[in-house]
Amino acid sequence: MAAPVLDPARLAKLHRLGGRELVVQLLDSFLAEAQTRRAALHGADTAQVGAVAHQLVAGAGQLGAGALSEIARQVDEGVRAGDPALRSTLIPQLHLAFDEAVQALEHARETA
Amino acid sequence: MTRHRLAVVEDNPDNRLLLQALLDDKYDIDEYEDGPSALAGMAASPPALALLDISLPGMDGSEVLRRLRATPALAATPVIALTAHAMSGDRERFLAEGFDGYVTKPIVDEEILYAAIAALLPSA
Repeated sequence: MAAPVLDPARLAKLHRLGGRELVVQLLDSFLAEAQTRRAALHGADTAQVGAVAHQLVAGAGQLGAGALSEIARQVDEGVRAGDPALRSTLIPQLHLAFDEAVQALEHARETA
Repeated sequence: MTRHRLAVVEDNPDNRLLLQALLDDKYDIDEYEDGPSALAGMAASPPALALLDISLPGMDGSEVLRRLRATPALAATPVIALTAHAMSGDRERFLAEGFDGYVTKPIVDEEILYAAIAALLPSA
């Protein structure tokens, strides 16, 4: 089964761990970086795309943005391995997953 | 029960925040943002165990580990590699470098982290 855009159970777990304060702090921090990361992911510097993807594996995953974390992992590995499908397939998928995740996390922040 | 002190070496503030939330009920935590500050801080105040991010800016986790192992007071400190690298063979590579354990990020199942830490600490 494909990972969900956003798994609410993950945010609920963070809430149990550290209360609303932890959830809000992690969401705000992720969203504050979103514009910069989006620009880097759309840039021509493949190494930079890989570096941001690497950050997103954990950063998105720990917020429950599983689909983004998964495609970010594939891009991170693809950059390191020189995967020829990177530009044609994987990076466009990453762009889409990134925008979907940011939208879902913005909504989660509004209702946190 | 003895409360062990752990060093967390992680450059990303969100990851540090999450690790603190996961660990501070059980352990005392010393946080470091980079390799040089971790080496200095751990030498001054050796922890029972270190969680060491691999992808640190500048001096990476593998280099920090090499320097820890070359420091007599810290040479035997258990060190767990903390990494979003999860390609096949990575686990073996990090263990071959001398890490005592390996935990992948994102940490969505904290029991894996707790088990990795508990396996390397002397029981109280």
